[in-house]
Amino acid sequence: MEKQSHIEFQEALDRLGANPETWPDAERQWAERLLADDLETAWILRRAQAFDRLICDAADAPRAGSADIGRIMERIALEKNGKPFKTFLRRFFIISSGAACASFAAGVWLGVMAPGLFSAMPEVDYAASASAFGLGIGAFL
Amino acid sequence: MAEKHRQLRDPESAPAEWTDDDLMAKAGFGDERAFAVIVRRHYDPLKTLALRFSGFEAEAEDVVQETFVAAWRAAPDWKPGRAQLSTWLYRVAMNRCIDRSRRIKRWRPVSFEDSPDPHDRSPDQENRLHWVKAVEKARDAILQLPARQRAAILLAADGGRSNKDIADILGTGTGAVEQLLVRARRTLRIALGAEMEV
Repeated sequence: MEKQSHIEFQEALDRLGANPETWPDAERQWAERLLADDLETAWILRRAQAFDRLICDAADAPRAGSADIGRIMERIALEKNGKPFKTFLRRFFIISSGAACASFAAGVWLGVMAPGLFSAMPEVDYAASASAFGLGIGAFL
Repeated sequence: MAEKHRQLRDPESAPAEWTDDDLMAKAGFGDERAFAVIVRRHYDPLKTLALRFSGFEAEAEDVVQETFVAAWRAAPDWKPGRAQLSTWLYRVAMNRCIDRSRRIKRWRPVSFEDSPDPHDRSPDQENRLHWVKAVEKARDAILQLPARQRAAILLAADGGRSNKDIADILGTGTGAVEQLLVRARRTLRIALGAEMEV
C-alpha cells in the first residue's frame, strides 16, 4: 500500500513541478525532510524529473527562420500602410457625426425658442436676412 | 536619445538594455524597425507554444501573426510598466489558440522532423529511438488534453515560469493553475504509462 507521504509528495510534484528548489519555503523544507528520510521519495522525485524532461522535449520545437519573421513584418507594413485611410475614415465619421448632433441640437433649440423670437420682431428678421443675402450675392458677383 | 534612434535603425544591433516598453513606445509612433526587434525577441517561444498547442504548423503561424498584429495595434495605447509585454503576448496567443481549438475539433499532429534512421541499431541509437518515440507519444497525449490544461502544461514545460506567471497569462488564479497542472500531469502520466519508467 502506498504511503500517505508518497501520495502527498506526488501531489506536490504535480502542482509545483519536479524541481523542489523552486518550491515555496515551507513545501521545500518538507520535501527536503522527506528526501533525507526515505529512498522511495527520492525515486518518486527522479521519476517526476524524467517526466518533466519528456514534457519539456515534447513542448519544444525547431527555431524560426528569418523568413517567418519577414512574413510578420510584411503584414505589419500592410497594417501601417492601411492606417492613414482608416484614420481618415474614423476622423470623418467622428466629425460628421459631431456636426450632425450639433445641427440636431440647433434645430431643436430653434424649434423651441425661435418662433417666439421671430413672432416678436418679424420685420427685423426678414430685413436682416434680405440685406445679408444681398450683401452676400454682391460680394460674390 | 539620438544614440537610441541610431541603434534602432538596425534591429540586429539593438542593445539588450532596450526594454520592450521602449520598443513599444517607438512602435506606437509607427516605427517598424523597433517593432521588428520585438518580433525577433518573442517570436520563437510564441511559435513553439502555439505549435505544440495546436499540433499544426500553419495554425501556429497564423496565431503568432495575429498576436503580433494585435501588439502592433495596441502599441499606440501601450502603458509602460502596466504589464510585461511577454505576458501580454502569451495571453493573446493562448486565448487565440484556445478559441481556435474550440472551433476546430480535430488537430493534426506535427510530424517529428528529427527522427533517427531506424536501420541504425547501436545502443545509443536504441536509447535515442526510445526517447524519440516517447516524445512523440507525449506530444500526442498533450494534444488530447482539454485546452486550458494543455495551455498550462505547455507554459510550465520549460520550468522557466512560476505558477503565478502562468496564472497571469491565463487570466486566472494560482490555485486554479495548480489544479490544471495536477490534472494534466496525471492524465499524461497515465497516457504515457511505460514510457515513464526510470
